[in-house]
Amino acid sequence: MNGAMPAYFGLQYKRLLRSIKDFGMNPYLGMVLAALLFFWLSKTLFSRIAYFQYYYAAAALFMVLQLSETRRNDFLKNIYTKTNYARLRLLENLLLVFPFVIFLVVRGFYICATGAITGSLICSFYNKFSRSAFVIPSPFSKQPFEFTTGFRKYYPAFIVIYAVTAIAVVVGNFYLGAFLDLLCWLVCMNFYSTTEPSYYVWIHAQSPKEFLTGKIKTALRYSFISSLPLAIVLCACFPAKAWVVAVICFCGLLYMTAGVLLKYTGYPKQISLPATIIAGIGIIIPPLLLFVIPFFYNRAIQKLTSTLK
Amino acid sequence: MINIQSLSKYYGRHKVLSDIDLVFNKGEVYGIVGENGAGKTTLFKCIAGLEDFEGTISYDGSTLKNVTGYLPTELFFFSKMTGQEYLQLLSNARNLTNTDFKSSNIFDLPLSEYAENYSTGMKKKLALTGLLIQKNEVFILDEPFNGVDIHSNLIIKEIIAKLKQLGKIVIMSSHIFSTLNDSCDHLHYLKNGHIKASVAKGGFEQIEEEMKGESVGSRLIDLLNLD
Repeated sequence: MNGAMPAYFGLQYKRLLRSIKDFGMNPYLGMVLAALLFFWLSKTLFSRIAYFQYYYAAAALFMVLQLSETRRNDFLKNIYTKTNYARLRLLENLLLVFPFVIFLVVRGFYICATGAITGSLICSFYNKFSRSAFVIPSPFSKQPFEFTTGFRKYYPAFIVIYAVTAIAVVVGNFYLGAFLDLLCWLVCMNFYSTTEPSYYVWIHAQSPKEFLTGKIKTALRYSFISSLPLAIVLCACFPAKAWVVAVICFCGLLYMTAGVLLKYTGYPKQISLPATIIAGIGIIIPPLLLFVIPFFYNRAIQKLTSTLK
Repeated sequence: MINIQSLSKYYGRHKVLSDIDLVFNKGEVYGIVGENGAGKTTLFKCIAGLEDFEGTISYDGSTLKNVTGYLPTELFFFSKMTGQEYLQLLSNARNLTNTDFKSSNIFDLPLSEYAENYSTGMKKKLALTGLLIQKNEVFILDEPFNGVDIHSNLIIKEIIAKLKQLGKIVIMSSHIFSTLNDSCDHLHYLKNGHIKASVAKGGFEQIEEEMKGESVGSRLIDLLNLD
């Protein structure tokens, strides 16, 4: 083996450390926390969801598939020899699937573990995973970009949420429906998780206050429209529990407001870890958002002032 | 009129632009030339209001950034966003109520397709169309001719001539001297963050000669030991 592989994986390791550092955290602490979070999440989901081993193996393969992206692989093929490229792809897929496999083996799901390894090996030969050029119709085209692009990226999540809510209604499980209603708001909130390049803020002929107000209005209107069918169905089928739906809707509006403001609290940098933690606590304890939102608002105004006059 | 006085810009301790004094008048086209790293893009970003700086930039109309269209060299497009939605975004950003972009589509771009899938030249044309839709007063075009085909090159030249005719301020950079010769009324030569020379049309050869003298050409001769 020549030095190409250690150099490649060394570089990936450095990139990982830098990404965690950019997130505002000590890289080594970040890795330990990520590992603990992975362990905790896996353990919790396995204990709560039936047949989770299949979803788990599928999730592992989905992650591995991301490495098969065409442009990335064309670049690697271009710079490495055929043998090194094949080795590299094989190894990186196995490294990525490894934590999932360990968990599956510990839990005794050997067939799923074997399936995940086999799938990752097969995926290493597949390098043409490109995003489709087909334009998915979006009902949110008039006010680009967060909802327009977010809807197109996450529309399968909406299909699943709507479909499972329908099943929840049929089997009379209100709380599953309510959970999915909340999930719908959180999916919409996720559209605002990445800070855009400063050019896309700069183009606005608005003051920071006007800019934020416009963003919040769009976010609230579109997220409300997205969750409205769920709220109507739940209220119609479980009228006694309509107040729960109303509370979820109120919390959702607070989540969206906080989500939009959170995005600009670190502008032009990405959202910092402390701000993310504050928002996370706010999601778990919604009344806190009444204090968090004004704090985020002032911080966002402060950060946007240098770009928007 | 844009009036730049004593503009300096630091990246950390490194001074990228040093005491720049420039005036840009309405209805005139200005070219900024200089080698890579001379500070052209930084100067453009300072004028656009995308970078902080020392010194002053005044504009006798409204807030400069709100009437400025900036075409950066490196364009960024969101994934899963169509060309039409990009134009809508730029239009909304200036509180304009455009919804029909077909007549504005001067480059015949496939607006219903995702902008991220456009070729380099098409992306540049889309970005330029967006700036025109915004009805800006000032146009800062960083390498507008890079990556576009010959036909579009001619259209861009025509657009610049039309903008001049409409009394707009156009500030541009290009590595193709002939395009600057055709389009610009004034040239400013930026070297190591300083304005080394400023000439009006008719005297561009002076700058071209000066740049040629400092180009890699003369050093290449030394390197290859040619006479």
